[in-house]
Amino acid sequence: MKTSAQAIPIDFHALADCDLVARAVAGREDGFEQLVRRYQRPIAAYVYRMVGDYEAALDLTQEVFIKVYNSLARYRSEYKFSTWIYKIAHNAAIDHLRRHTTREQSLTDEMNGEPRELLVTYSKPSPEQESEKEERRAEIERVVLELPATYRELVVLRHSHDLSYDEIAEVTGLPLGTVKNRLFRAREAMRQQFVQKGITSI
Amino acid sequence: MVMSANSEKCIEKSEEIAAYLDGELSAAACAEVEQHLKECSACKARLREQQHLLSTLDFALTDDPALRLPVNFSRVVAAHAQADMSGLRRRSEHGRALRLCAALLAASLVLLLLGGAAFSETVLRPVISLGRHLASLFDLLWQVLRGAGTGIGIILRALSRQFLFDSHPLGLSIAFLLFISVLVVFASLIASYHRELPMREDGT
Repeated sequence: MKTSAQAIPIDFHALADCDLVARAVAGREDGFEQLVRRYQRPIAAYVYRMVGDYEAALDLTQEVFIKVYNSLARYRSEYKFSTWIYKIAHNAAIDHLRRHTTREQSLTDEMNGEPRELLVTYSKPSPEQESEKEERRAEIERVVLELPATYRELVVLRHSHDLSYDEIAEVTGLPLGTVKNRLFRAREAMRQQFVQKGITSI
Repeated sequence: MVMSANSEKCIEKSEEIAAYLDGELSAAACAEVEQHLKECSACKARLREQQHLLSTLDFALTDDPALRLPVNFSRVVAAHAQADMSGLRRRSEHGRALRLCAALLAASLVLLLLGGAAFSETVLRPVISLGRHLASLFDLLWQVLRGAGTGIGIILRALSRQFLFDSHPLGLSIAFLLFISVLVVFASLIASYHRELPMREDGT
């Protein structure tokens, strides 16, 4: 008698993104919450590296998920959900930077080899980052943050979020050739910075 | 030297080497780069440089930054997103709804204009006849009330005349007393009303 009415516990970890989307679109709140749980850290980390401000990163992350929720019905499963959500996060981060960047610090600044002002403020290393390794990591991160936003984004998407060139092109709306070229130039600029700062090994 | 002979080509190759390490080259392009690496020591050195750089970046960026998300962040975010209804309806849906309303309005107007005769037959005539019936009913009621009022008036006039003029001294004195008492009552009512007013304004 009971067995027919008993709810079967769902293993959300086993569900693919598109299954969670389908669940959310069908009106099951747990589907969307699970998607948030799955992507909150990578999206917050990506947005934080783009804007460099903790509070703004949290607000933008929330904004991204609200946009995702409101657009779920328009999501097409032939596209990767992660690429789609990064695209929304990319737009939110770029809009934020446009609103908070002065005219001289254009987002599309080409790298001319001269050291440039930080576009974002970087928070001081936390006490946990006291160790040498963590200091090194923070130093590398600072070099990343010194890149212009359009270059920094490519490096972050590639090395922090493991996106392919194609996916980066889709997220940023740049042609594939531009992604390849800018990523190369960004890394070269960083390599020179590492040499200057004496960051030779990890 | 191989390096100087290939230097220009090698600069072009650097970007390819980076893409090669990223695993973004086609099989043919991979084979080409591998062939070049066998021949060019400078590019082999570049490859090692790039490998080192990529592992450095992977090391620094793979982990999340020192970003502590608030407790229950996912639940709060999901609740906010679900509470935000602004985008649940697509723009096209709004447009469709507006178009439908406009079409319905237009259709009803057309029906009213084109089917004027049928409209007057089926809608206007019953409304007008109902109005006429109601008007005649109200007229009847008015006549009844007016007749009753006139009758009562005539009866009262006859009674008062008889009372006042058929018994002179008593009738006049009663009428005078009534007049005085009415004056006193009204004066006291007006005086008490004016005394109470300011108290009400104070809200007490």
